[in-house]
Amino acid sequence: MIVISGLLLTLFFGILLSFLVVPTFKPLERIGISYVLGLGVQTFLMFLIYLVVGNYSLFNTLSILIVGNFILLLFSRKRLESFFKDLKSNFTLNNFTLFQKIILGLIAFFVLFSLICTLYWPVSSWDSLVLYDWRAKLFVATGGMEEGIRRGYFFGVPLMTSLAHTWIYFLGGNQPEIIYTLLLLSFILMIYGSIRRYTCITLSLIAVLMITTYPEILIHSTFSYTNFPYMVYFVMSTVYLYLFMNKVDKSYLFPSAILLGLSSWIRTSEPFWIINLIVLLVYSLISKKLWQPVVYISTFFLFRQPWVIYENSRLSYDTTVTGKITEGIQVLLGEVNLLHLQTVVKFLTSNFWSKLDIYLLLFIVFVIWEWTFLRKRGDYWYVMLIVGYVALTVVGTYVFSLTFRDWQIGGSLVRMTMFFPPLIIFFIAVSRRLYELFYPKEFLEQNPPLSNVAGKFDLPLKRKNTSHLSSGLRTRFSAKADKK
Amino acid sequence: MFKKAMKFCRDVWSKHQKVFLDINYNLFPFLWMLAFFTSILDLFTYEGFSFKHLFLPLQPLIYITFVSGMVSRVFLEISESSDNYLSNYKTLLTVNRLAFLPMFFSSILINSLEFANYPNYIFSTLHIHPDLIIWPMSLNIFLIIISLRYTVIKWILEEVLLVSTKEIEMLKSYHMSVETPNKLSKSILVQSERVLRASYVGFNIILRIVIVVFVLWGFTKNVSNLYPWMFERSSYMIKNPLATYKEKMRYGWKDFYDYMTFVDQVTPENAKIMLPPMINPWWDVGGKGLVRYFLYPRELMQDMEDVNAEIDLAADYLLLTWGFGVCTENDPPDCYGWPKKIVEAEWIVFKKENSEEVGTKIENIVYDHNDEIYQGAWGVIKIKK
Repeated sequence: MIVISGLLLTLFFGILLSFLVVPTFKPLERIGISYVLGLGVQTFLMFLIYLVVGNYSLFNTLSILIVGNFILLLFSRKRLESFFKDLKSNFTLNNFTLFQKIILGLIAFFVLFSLICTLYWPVSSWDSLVLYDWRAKLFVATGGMEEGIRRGYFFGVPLMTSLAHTWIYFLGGNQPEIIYTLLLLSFILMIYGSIRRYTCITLSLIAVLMITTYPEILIHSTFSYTNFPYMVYFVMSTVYLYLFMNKVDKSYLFPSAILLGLSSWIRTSEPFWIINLIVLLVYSLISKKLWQPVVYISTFFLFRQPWVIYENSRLSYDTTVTGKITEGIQVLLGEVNLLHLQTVVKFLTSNFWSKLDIYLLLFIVFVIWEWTFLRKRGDYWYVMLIVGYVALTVVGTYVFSLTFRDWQIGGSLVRMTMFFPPLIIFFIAVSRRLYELFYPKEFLEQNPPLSNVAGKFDLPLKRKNTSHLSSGLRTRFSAKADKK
Repeated sequence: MFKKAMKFCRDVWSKHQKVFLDINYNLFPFLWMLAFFTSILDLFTYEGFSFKHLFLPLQPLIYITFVSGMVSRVFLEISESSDNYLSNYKTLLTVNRLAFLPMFFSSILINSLEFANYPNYIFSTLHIHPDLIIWPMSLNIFLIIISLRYTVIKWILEEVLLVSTKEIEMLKSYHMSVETPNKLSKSILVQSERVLRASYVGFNIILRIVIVVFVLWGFTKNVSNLYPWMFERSSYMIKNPLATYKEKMRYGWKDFYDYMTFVDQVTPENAKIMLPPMINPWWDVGGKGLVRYFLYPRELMQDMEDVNAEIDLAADYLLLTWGFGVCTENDPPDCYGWPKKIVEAEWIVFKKENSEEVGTKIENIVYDHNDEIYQGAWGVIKIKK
């Protein structure tokens, strides 16, 4: 009961935070992002407070949440009231058809299975015993990090999941893996909300079912490795970046930056965030809005740097971005050993291509199918992101193989690339061609998507005659009509 | 280019729709029987047997059968000749219906037996792969579904394929028009824009069927990959709903957990323990990071790689470990057993086999790993200081 109350406090903190970050979410989608934001920011603040006061304790953590909630409540009391009202009115299954209810039932079944597993099984996976849960137990036992640092093998992975476990242990719980099932549930709500903006309920639910049952995702939602939480934060960051660049809503830039920053608060070893920054930089240069990358990059580094700086201050070797990039470039510019290259290709074929072949092929098929709309809708930014991730995976594996002796860890590559299927399924689900196949133009009006974005679907929008208004007002008026 | 290819396909479809549908209608029962035969063959041999020896890939065959069956039923329903369709396949449908219950119960029985005994029980006794029984079952259920009444087919059309009533009406009118006996009116109708669009709707529905079956394939692929894991997890949970932390950890870590619990019992909390190196066959007991989770707050020390390294002077205790890993030809001949050094011991405590309990204790002894008593032994050595 105390654990549930504690998690609700985290959720409430996230809800209040989400009002500042994303004003336009549907209630269930907001609950999804609230838990993700709440847990991420709470653990981040726990670390910052530790740097000031020098210990982790229940009192400190509760203070963060209570003071944080109180301050945030001052800003968003009215929004909170309307949120609960909306939640009450929207929470009904009556609008769903039988088929949709069947899909919902299947999704619920898999989430429930994950929940039962996390409530039943103790923390027992290798890496969590060695590092993630070990650190949490140590924080609870000693209140600090010095004992852990002294005993070695403490750094390498940021503290997010360890501090989340610590929070559960502080509350008296002994099954900290429940946070992973709740992350799965939040991920489902968030990705459903994002897909639903472009397509109908049935197709959105099918996409979510495919994502939920992707084996790596469901299995990893039942034990405490960092790959699954990283995937949740990273995928949603990319999806929101797409929504931003797709001109659904400009306010998505900020949540995307926060989630990307929080993803690097979970794992720092994967440099996929570089692709997001580069693509956004190019996008902003073309659209001549340079404030966008400034906001994005500064928000991202705000969450990434404290841990990196702390880690560097305690370690003798360089873990900074510049250090890693320089090392990578040096390796790439070195002599190419064809025999070694062949081994890397073989490794990638059996651990990357063979696991994701169907998704990558589908991605290529849908890129060709969507070709005309890629330009119209600005989807090529999303394609660039995915192509960038693939390129970075290939190049990164090659660099890693030259710098690390035991580099052939297939399972690690599979875990690292588990974010590809949800990203590709999202791309397919929001495909306009797919939507038009199920709802040909002449029938589109009967089944409009949730948010009709200008240029996305050729729906005859009913607009009032605005010719008498000034051009500025006309633009604002049509923007409002788009939002509706 | 893609657009042109799609247009070409649509045009070919609208011109030869009737021929395609007739071929598909006649082909479906053969496809179904071939898929069923293949699934039974794999069931009694192994997955991929039919592909290896007869070039019949089971899963693609099943999903092609699904597409063919759905297209047959949906279009015959639209052209209102489904009764004819059902009567033509009467024997096949009757046999299939009769086979449903025996197949259903035998699949439940087989999976229950596997569940109640041990993994691979069914294959070792009956030579049947219990996880492959899903394929003949799915073919059986599919044939039952597509032979059901119009209301079910209508439900599939409207809710699964998302076909609107307007589209169904358009298709129906199209079918009426192409079957009009008057040649003149037929040619006028076929050329009209409205009818052409209706034929496009038909093409769209076929594409939707293909996509829905493809999604079904993806879903079953995911579930079949998840099944062994879900089965393993749930079978333990159902059999041991009230298992303790110890029992669950024992299930996950097996003898390693017993050994850690044993060491925890026989050493004090301020002990300084030396571990074997983290090489084969001591990947787990030599994993300092892993062992510390179970033995905290004891201090641990080791030489990461050298099996013949000198004993750390700070250590009070040594782990007497035979090794859980499997030594291969690449390993040295006396791969098992650590420590390799001769140690003057205050006492040595042995762990009882297959349990965490403390066994024999020998005091004031010189440890030499070549002695026979240390063959396969697990315990703790207290170094004489």
